[in-house]
Formats: sequence, structure tokens, C-alpha cells
Amino acid sequence: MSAFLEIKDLYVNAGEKEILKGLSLSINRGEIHVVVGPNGAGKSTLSNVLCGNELYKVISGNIDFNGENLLPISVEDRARRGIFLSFQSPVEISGISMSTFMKYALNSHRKFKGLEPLDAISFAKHLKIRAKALGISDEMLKRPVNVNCSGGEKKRLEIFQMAVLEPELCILDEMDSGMDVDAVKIASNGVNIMKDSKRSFLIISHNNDFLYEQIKPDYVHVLVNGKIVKTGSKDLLLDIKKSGFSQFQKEI
Amino acid sequence: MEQVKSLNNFISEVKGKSEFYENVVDTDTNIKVSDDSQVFHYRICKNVKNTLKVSLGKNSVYQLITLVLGDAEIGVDIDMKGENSSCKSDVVYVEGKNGKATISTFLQHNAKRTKSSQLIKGVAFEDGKADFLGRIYVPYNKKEIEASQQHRALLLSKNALVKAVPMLEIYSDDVKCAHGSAIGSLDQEQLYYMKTRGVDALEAHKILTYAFLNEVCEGILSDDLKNTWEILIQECLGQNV
Amino acid sequence: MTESKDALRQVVENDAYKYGFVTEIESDEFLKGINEDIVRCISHKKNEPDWLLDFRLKAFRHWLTIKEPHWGKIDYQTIDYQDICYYSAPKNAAKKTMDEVDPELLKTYEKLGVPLQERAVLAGVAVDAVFDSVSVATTFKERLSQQGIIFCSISEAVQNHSDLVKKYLGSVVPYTDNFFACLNAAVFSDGTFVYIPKGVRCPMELSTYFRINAKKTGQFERTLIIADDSSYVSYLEGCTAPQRDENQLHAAIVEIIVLDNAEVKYSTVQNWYPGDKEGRGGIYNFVTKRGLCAGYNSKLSWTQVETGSALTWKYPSCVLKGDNSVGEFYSVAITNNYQQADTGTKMIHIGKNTKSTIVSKGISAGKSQNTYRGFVKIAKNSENSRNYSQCDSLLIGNQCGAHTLPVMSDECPSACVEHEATTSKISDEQLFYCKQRGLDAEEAVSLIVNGFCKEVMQKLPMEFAMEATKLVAVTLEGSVG
Repeated sequence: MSAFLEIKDLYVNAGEKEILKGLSLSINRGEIHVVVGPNGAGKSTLSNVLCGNELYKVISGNIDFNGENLLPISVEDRARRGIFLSFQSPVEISGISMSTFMKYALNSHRKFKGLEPLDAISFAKHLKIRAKALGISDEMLKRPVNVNCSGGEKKRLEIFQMAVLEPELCILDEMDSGMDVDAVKIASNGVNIMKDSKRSFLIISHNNDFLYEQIKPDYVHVLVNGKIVKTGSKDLLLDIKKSGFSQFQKEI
Repeated sequence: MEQVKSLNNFISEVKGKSEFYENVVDTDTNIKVSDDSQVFHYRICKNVKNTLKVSLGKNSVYQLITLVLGDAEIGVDIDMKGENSSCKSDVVYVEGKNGKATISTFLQHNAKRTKSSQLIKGVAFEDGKADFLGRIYVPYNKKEIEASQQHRALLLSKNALVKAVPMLEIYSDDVKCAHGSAIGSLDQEQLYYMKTRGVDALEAHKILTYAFLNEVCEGILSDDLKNTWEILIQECLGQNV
Repeated sequence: MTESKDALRQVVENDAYKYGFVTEIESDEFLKGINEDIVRCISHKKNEPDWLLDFRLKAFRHWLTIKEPHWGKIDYQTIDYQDICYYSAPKNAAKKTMDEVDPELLKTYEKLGVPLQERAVLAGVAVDAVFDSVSVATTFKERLSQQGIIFCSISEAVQNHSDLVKKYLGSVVPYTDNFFACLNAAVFSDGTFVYIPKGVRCPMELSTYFRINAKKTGQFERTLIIADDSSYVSYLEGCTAPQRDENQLHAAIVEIIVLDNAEVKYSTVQNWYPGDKEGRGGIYNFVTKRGLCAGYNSKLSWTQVETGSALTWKYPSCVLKGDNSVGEFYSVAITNNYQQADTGTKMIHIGKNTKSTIVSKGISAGKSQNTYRGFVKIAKNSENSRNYSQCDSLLIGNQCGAHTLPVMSDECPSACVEHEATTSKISDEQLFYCKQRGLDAEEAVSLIVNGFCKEVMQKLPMEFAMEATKLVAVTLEGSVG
């Protein structure tokens, strides 16, 4: 049986520069995968290419999602099929409140699935439950998207959006950088609340402690120089904490 | 860094890093800043009519501070021809009895990745008049352009007049442009604060007016020149502020 | 949002401007061209008093001596004024009661969504529908007249309230003001007249729909609104026009007088035919709109959403004469394809403690040019007056232009003028972010643009706000590749 997300031998360029050099990765439903690696290894490229960011060109290789070839599918259609990216530095959009933005996004997802848009009351309820669980105030929902938000608040709002849109594959790009301890707890709490047998996570990170203790991943991959060089259990994180990435870089 | 020297008006090609001061006369000035150079240029325009034309080479940095006093018609034309060039053009003007300043700046972003910033601060008192026209032009298809312009003026008497036209002419979309202009009087709260600390009204007025203009002068690297300018400005403001 | 998408799809599927149809009705047209005889003829047909014929003739003679302006950032070919018909009225013109109105006409209004029927009372909107130069059915004027409010066509006002019209016509925009105002003064056909008596708050929003139907008929509408002491009125202007190949001229004048403690709110949603994707056809919209805040504590606010016309030349202005008077200008101007707009506002501060606020949002797409031109003047004795302006431009695509030309002149030391402007584009990051949340490119642009315009849209009366939001989406259709 093929995996939920199957990346085979992926070569990706950003401009003229080759970033991913034959990356392969498989994720099954319900699994939590973590990708760690030194700066410049290609971690952000991986998350962006999965979402279809046109700045990154796929030179060769395959990405299959839920049995479908993902490569010809547009950004928004990948999102509607259940792929969600929590951005490392989310952009600001003034004049539109977070709740209005979520209304449009959620109804767009629903339409794709052949569902009617949510009425005002159901939508408000849908939002409120999730906001409460993640410590998002009413004021933050009314504020224009990401405007005047600290790094930590932005990350929290990304997790909130994930909870609202209920994706099938959650890609968290550097989820833990720039957040204070409490915010990290809330973010990992969000992941733990949302994980289930159907939902998969691909978490890209620097911070070993957070991952090891709060999230408890099923698989850990080490991404060095555009390729996955080692895959292991969460104990691999302890190994990296002790010896760093150089041991893997030597192997290349 | 080179000793500050005077720049008389001719077409000059400037390389490396240099600092110039110029007592502007009625003949126009043309300057070409070569690739990879950094130039600091300070000009005093008192009772003159002059247009400065500057063209910037690749990766060059041009910083201009102009002091305008008395009857003056000043044009500043900066052509950012070279990719990645940047300029900062600041002006401080003081117009008092019978003074009239017409200041036009024209900044053209003719290459990609060019940046410009302008700070223009001025004071008009007695029957002084100032007319500021600041034009920023970005032609088609220029990428990664940043431009900003701020004009602030203090009107200190009933017969003074300040007119400002900050113009943006943008034909490209990869642009971040901002400009602002404000004309008004001294901050009453600041005046009051000084008075509560025992400073008399006239003195407070003078101090705050000078502080207002000083933001531009702080950009001058040479302390000697900075002092000269300070004296000139204070002379001009005199007893009349 | 679903509504705007439907509107979008409608336009895309039909491949036609929504209101692009022509009503087949007999017209009572003059021959083309303009001369003194035509001017006299217009005045005669409308049975005007001598003073008004005089007004027209003075204006026409002056017009012959002045030149068409080409100083704006608008590029257009000189108009052949002899190739235009200056008067066209449907044969079945205005009658006393609703029953006597030509049913074809009524059907037209229904297509346009003009609530002429009685059920409009529930919506609380009274409508003065102008159709090709003659006001047809003026509804609810009987009800409004119970409060002493006069809401009728200019033609009618000239007959029944001649003194009022004579007192104020041309007092805010004299015929010498500019070329198009002068032409309008000579050949204006009809328009709306509103008078709100002292202390009266007009209970419903007044509105007028314009329509240009007959070929080559320029519209020369004239609106005059007078708000007497302590009165209030909110006026809505919304325009539609059919699809044409030749350009059509629209040179209107709106004059507003606001007396002591009175307030007028004038809102416009303008979507005249903008020309096709190749820049052919479309309306030339040259309009002079000005309000005089004559009274103490008077207030005038202009709110507009401009999405149509091939050419727009329009500067709704306020003359703040009365002490403590307030002028406001909120505008969204969108241009796409080959449209050109040179618009803005003038705020003239004369009285003391006067205040003006300008919020202008310009959006350029396609190969269009969008210019904001502003003029703020604070006169010497306008003590403690304040102006604040915010002009933001958003560029979509790299073939269009956005220009800002604010002129500020301050002669009073206790006054304060502040202006801020930004120019930016919809960033690729913002688009990618929205798409990653499931929105397609057009939805994303619509969302971001509506966010950009929010401050202005909030000032519009509710029913206009919805139409305006739809219009934004339709105008930007095809702008993001």
C-alpha cells in the first residue's frame, strides 16, 4: 500500500541554484514526522515545494499525495485537498480580520468538498471553540491578519488556522523559532489535540527539546545538503543534540 | 576619509569614499558618482539659483544635505542609473524676512534595486515663503524599488507661507513608496513642558525650532561643518522666532 | 463574497457588461452640433424663464472663447463637440402618476434595479430616475413634501421653485470655473434638485440613477442640493450605461450648499461603461462637483467608489467657509485595462477651526493610469484649521501606473496640514498565503483589495456598500494572470 505522502527522488531548484538533490520521504496517515537539519539544507524548500510555491522549480522526481500526482496541482487546490502550511514568517494583510479571512478560506474548502458554506452562527461556534483551546482572544480574531502581532502571536494564529481548516497533512515550518516557552506549549498542545489516525504532521524544526518532549514524533529525518541522509526514531533527536549534524555531513 | 574640501562647479567624476562641502553659486553643478563609490555632499544655498544634477553608478551611495537660506531657487536632480544605487537627499530651509525659497527635487529610479530617501525640514517666519516640489519617478519594469520622502514645515507667523507638492509618478509595481508632508506650528505641549522647567517662552520657541531643524543637520559627519551650519541657522532665526 | 463570485462568473460567461443593453424607444432628438440656436431651443423646449436662458447664453458665449484642458495625466483625443447631440428625451416623457409612465421605461428601470415601484417605500429609498436628459418618474415627492422637502428634477424646480434655483444655481460652480462646467451651464438638460428646510432631517436616503441611452448623446446633468440650517440629507448617486463603440461624453455638475449646523452626505458608486479590453469605447466622465460649507458648523462628506469610465476627470471639493465647518472625502478609484483616471479633491479652508479629512485609495491594474490630484489650501485667517490626507495606491501588474500629486498650501501658522501616501503592490507572499488557505487568485485579490479599501467602503450607506464590493470584483476581473 502506498504512503499517504510519497516523495520520490525530488530535485528542486530555487532560481539557478539546486537545493533539493534527490530527496525521498514517505509519510503514512496518522504519523508525525520531524525533519531536522543544518541551515541551508533545504528544509524550507521542502515545505514550500509541497505547497506548490512557484518560486521553487521541480526539476525531476515525484510527489504523490493520497494516490494523486501533486505536481500539476495549483497552490489553492493542494490546500483544498488538505495540505496546510504553517509559515515561518506569516505575511500581514491589512483591512481583513482573521475571522473574515478564515470564513472565506473555510467556505472555499467546503465548496471543494461539495458542502454548503457555514452559516454565521455555526461558523462563529466553529471558531470560538478552537480560539478558546488555543488561547486566542476575541480581539486577536478581530485584528487584521497578522498586523501588529508579535512573532509568538503570529505562530499561535497559524496553529489556530490549522485548527479551523482541519487539514489532512499539516506542515509546520520552524514552528518553534521565535516563540516563548508558553507559546511553544500552546503550539505543541495544538498539535497534540489535532493529531489522530487520519491526520499526518510534517514538522520542520531546529529545537530538539521541544520536539522530543512535547510532540513525540514517530519518525525523525535528517536533511543535509538537499537529501534525507538518515531516518530514525525520536531517539535520533537525542543523538543530534549530543553530536550535532557534522556526523551526517561527513558521510556525504 | 578625505578631508572635506570645497567643490566648485564642474562636471566631476567621484570615486571611492569622499566628503565635499560646497558654497553654491549661480552656475549649475553636475556630478557623476562612479560605480561602488560613496559620496557625502553638503551644500549651502544662500540667495542663489542653482540646479544640481547627479547621476549614480552601480552600487553607489550618495548622501546630500542642502541648507537653503534667503532668496533661493534650488533644483536637485538625482538619476539612479546604476543598479543597486541609493541616495539620501535631505534639505533644511529657513525663510525669514523677505526670504523666498523654491526647492524642487526630482529623483528618478532608472535602475532596479535602487533606494532613495528624503527628509526636508523647514521653517518660515515673518513673511518668509517656501515652495517645495518633490517628485519621485519610477519608470516601467523597474524591480525592487524603495522610495520615501518626508517634508515637515513650521509656520511661525501670520505672513509666512509654505506650499508643498510631494509627487509620486509610479509606472512599476515592484515598488515600496511612501511620502508624507506636514505643515504646522510648534508642539504646544513641548513648549509648555519647557516653560514648566523655567525656560522662558521666547527661549523655548528658539530651542524647539532649532531642535526641529537639527534632525537633518545631524547627518553631517564633520563636526566643524556641523557647527558652521548651526551658527548660520541660528543667525538666520535670530531674534525673530 | 459568494455574491461577488457570481457576479464575476456572470460577466465572464456572458462576456458582456452586465448593463450592456439598449432600450428601443422613440427618442425626440435634436440634430447634432452646438450653436446659440440649439441653446435657445433647449431653453424653449423646457419652457424656461428668461433669467435661465440668459444664464445659458452667457455661459455658451464664454465657452466659445476657452480651450479644452489637456493638462491632466489623461491622454485623449480632442472631442468634436459638433458631433454630439445635445438633447434627447424619450417621447413618453414625465407624467403625473406612475400609471402613465411608459411600461418599456419601467422595465428598463427594473433591469437596472431601480426601485420605482411602491414596494420601494419599505426599502426607504426615494428615486429620481433620469433617463436620457429628462426626469421620468419622480417618486415619493408627495411624501417628502409633507415635511417641506423638495426632491424633484431641475426642470420642475425651475418651474415651481424658480427663486430658490435662481438664488443658488451657479453660486458654487460658476460657468467660468472650467471648460466642462461652462459647457454644462450652456446645455444642461436636467438633473436633481433637493431642498431640505430648516431643522428637517430627511427620513430616507435620496438617490438618482443616470443612464445614457441614445447614441452620441452626451449627458449634461446638473444637480443642486441645498441644506438649510440644521438640516440633514444623505444622497446616493449610482450610474450605469449601455455598451457602445464610440466614446460618450459626460460633463456633469453637482453643486451643494450647506448652511448653519447642517449636514450633507453625498455618496457615489460609479460604473459607467469603461471601454472594452482593448480600450475601445467607454464613457468620458468630466465632472465638477463642489460643495460650499457656508454655514457655521456645516458638514459635507463625499464618498465615492469609481470603477467605470474610460476617462475620469473629477475632483469633488469642499469650500470650508463657515467657521467650524467640516469637509470629508473618501474615495476608492479603480482602473483596469486601458482606463485612465485623474481624480482627487480640493479642500479650501477659509473659516476658523475648519477641518478636512481625505482618504483616497487608488487601485491600478492592466494598462491603466490612475492619478490622485489633491489641493489643500489653508487661507491666512483660517485659524486652528486642520487637514489630514491619506492616499494609498495599489498596483496590480507591472503595466499600469499610479501617481500622487497632492498640493498643500498653508498660510496660517496655527493651522496644520498633514499628508501621507504609500504606493505598493499585492505582494506575491500575500497571494501565496491566501492560496495556501484555499482561495484562488481572483478571490485572493478581491479579498486583499477589499481590505485595502475597507476604510472607504465603511463610509458608504449599506445598500451601496454591497454593490460597491461586487463592482470591485468585476472591475478587477482578469487583472491577475
